[in-house]
Amino acid sequence: MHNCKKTRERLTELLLDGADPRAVLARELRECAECREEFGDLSETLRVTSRLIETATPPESYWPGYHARLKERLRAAQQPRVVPGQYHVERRSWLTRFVFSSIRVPAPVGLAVLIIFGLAIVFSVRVPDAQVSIVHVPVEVPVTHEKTIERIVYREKQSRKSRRSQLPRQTPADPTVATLQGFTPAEEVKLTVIKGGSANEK
Amino acid sequence: MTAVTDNEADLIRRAQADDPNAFCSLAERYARRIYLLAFHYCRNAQDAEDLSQEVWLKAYQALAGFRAESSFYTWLRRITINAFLNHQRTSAFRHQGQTTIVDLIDSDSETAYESRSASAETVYTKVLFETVMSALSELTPSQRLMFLLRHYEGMSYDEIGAAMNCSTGTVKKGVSRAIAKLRAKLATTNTDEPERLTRLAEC
Repeated sequence: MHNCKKTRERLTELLLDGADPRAVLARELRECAECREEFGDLSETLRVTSRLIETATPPESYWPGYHARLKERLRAAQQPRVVPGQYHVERRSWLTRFVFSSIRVPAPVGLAVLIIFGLAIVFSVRVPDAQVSIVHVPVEVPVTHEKTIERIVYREKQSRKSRRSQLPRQTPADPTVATLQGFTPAEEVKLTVIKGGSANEK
Repeated sequence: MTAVTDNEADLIRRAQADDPNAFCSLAERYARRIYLLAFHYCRNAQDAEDLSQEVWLKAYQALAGFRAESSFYTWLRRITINAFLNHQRTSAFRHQGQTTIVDLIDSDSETAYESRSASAETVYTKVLFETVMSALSELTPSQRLMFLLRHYEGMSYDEIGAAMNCSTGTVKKGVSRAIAKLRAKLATTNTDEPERLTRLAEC
């Protein structure tokens, strides 16, 4: 199926490539008058343009002057620029030149060197992990025997009268006396008596 | 693949060793092609000389980096395209669009297109020349460069896209627009033009 648009695009490509479309698109050009006309216009346009581009070449007499001017510009570009007040490059000491010298290094190589350098710094700075070991060291610790006796004493609330009648009599069943009897303190005893916090306790 | 001839390779080696004469010999080989590209790009002889010499200066400075992985001209053309694009970005041409038919006929300049012999054929050629230049001037600098690289340099769309840092579609569009402009302009210059111009020249 003939497609004028595609044929015209192909025509342009072939002509720009310097090929002859009549050999490649013979059938299209034979059968389609519009494509044939397009081919004629297009080939003429490109032929004329091509010829005119070449026409713009200056004559041979122009070129010696052109090359002389180019040589002059190259010479000017070669000469190092000397700015007043600045050290000339040649006057620098070998140490300064060494410090400021640069070399061309391919980017991957430079990157690899940087990575290696960075890793070396990281590993050298990093503190090695402490090895855990168990060492048994006998240590004498002074032991202080400390005993805390906590006792909560509950007392019945009695009337003043009955309390008075009972006060002089000390019965053997008194819990405080009974408790402390037979208690032998150790070498050092710290005794803390904690009383209950209720309001009726003394 | 190395596409550099022995003689050229020798010149390149010497130029890389800071021999300006060897570099000038290289420049003599390709100066015309670079000049023509520059001329059609900026459409003025003086700007073309400045721009083409700027290309050579850049090439001289970058020559140490030439590894002969492509032909010298392919490498040089890459520098040319970059120089053109930089020039386009940084400054306008000094004499943009000043080439006219009157200049072409009357100029005392030494360029071939400025011959003083005003025969019908010469005048017709000059009219065509001005027509083409006028059509090119209606394009953007990028489109103009795309057309020149495709038509005059024979580069593929992909190569141009890679060199100019744009898509293949953009290049195709630019070239197509340039051809359409040229066709429209040249269509107005009919075949009777030489006779009419002969009479004009005789007046």
